[in-house]
Amino acid sequence: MRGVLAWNKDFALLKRSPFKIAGPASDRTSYIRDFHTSRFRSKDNKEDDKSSALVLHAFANAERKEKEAYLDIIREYKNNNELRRGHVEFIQVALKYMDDFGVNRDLAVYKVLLDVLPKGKFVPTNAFQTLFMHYPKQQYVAIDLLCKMEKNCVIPDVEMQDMLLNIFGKHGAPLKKFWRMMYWMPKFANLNPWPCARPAPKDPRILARLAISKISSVDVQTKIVEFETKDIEDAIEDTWIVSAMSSIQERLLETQSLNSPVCVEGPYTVWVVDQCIDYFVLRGESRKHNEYEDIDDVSNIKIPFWDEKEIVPAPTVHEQNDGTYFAMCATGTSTKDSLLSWIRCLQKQNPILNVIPVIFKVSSFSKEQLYIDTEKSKDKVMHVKE
Amino acid sequence: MTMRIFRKILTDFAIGKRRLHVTTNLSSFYERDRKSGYKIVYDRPPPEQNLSIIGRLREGCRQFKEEFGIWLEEMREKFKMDPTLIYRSNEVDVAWRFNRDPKSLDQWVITCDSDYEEGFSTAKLELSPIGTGIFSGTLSTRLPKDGRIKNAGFCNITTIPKQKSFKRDVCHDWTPYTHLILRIRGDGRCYTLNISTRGIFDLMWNDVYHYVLYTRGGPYWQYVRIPFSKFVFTSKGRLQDDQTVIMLHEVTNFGISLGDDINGHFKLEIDYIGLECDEYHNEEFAYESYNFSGVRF
Repeated sequence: MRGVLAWNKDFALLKRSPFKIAGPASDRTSYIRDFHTSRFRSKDNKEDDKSSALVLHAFANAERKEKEAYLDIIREYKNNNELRRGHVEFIQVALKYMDDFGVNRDLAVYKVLLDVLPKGKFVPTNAFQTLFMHYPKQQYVAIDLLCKMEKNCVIPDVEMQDMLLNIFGKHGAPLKKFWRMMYWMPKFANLNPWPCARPAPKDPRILARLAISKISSVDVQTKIVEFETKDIEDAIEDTWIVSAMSSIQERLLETQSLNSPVCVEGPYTVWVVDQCIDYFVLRGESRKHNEYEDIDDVSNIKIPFWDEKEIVPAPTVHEQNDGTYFAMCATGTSTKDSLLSWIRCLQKQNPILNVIPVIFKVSSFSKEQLYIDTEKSKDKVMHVKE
Repeated sequence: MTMRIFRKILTDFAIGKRRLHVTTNLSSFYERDRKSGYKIVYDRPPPEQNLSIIGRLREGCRQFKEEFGIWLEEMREKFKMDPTLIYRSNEVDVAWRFNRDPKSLDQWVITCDSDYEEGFSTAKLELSPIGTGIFSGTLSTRLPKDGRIKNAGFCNITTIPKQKSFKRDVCHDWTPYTHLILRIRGDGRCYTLNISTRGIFDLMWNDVYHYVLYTRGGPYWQYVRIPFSKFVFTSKGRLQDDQTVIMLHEVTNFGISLGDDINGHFKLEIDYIGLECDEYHNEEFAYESYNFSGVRF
């Protein structure tokens, strides 16, 4: 409508070459902007006027889902595209595909994506614009971007603040979100007592070591040893075993009575970041400790002078109420044979295992997933206890 | 016949049918009910009783007798005036415990997003062979395809509200205590502890204090001791700018929830949840309590 009016009113003006907007603060900005856009609309400029649908599908159609391809699409959109038509939709779609491209924890990518928004254009110039949410869609999409960062535990930096200030000015809603994030996120960033690098390492051996060290952090004396099954004579499989045993546990195992057997039990699961690791335990019966005496009970007073003096050592951390834990391990294959190799490895250090009967209580595996299928978890094969 | 067609043309006029386009955005913070419009789902549906009028009267009398007994007990307790005066440190007062007692499970309400058709997680709470409570299930972040839900995947257990005689809701009074104690055995995932202090006005219905519970995993019991001063104030899961110290005399519910965005099974074994008073813990609030009264934000 505005274009038509302009056409009728001032034809000669349109023939002129387009204005260059000096700055957002200029008085005649809005007037010039109208002519500017209508000029571009009336012009049949294929280079500048890119079809945004093509760009939006670029994420879905990308051959390699990786960081470079993702950045290429953003670069393609930005290049020779001064109007940046549909930039809100573009950022929305780009945010949606971040997880697929594996860039959802990359601060640099978030910055490149935020850079799509033009600088200076959305800065409010008077109090009313500030009051009534200047360019709300653009502000909401920037908040969405920050929320996505928050969800993926990416702490923004000062450069991001400068970018947001240049885009929305200091009164913008995204800035408020940003400042809240910068206030709270560093407070909670290092809370985890068992920190782990993100993304989690892919090598199962490193993961198993992380998992075992996480579990055995209960006893600082624990030594984590990695065995190779090929070192054992009769081993069928060639795999690795990550085993944890502390000197307290060795002493406990020495004092274990030969009549009561010890069990190898498992697999139990433990989570390291977003990976699930199976582990096995070497467990014995729980030990009887001196019962708690009611000190108010005076019916049978013990006179300590002619009693035998005995010192009861405090139960160690490995003596839990459902059993005594002697060792823990995670193996590459989680099979019975690898567990047998584990016991053989432990026998060198603990000769008592040659004498004590060892029972294997290993639940069978199934390839059936306990997981609800997502596209991400399809490539993982999870062993599930039946 | 012609009249009917004529009337139909008149009444089914296109403009008359047109409706205002309404978006889901809330125009105000007015809340109609305490569940913010969520439907009521029962873990254990109340038994349906088809009683006659006489039967109902009899049932009412029975309940009155029962409640009156509880009330008498409360009154006796009140006139005895024998409160606990000394809270020794390292002495844990157990608030909730699963002691091989199936009735202790009735103290908890299990919620997950699939209850409200907002996701596909499942959760359950049951007793283990050694008598502890096991909160387990599967967390799924898969979104239902309704175009409304943006994030999914939570499982939660919450205690039922504390009641005194005649089914009146009361708050827990935890003022003498400084620490929350948990004896748990987790699976390495990260849970959230929620203490809700629901007020009487709709603005305060969703006040919850949160802290994170990191679990070690493995066969060893974990003894967790968290000071109440570390809990952060949120409303509807959003951290508030104006942080305040937790009101320990208005605790209405306690809950543990899981929502760490990792697809998969989980298992948290709980022995007891207790409270402790540490006289050497002088921290009032772990976060800055700025005065926001003059700040336009």
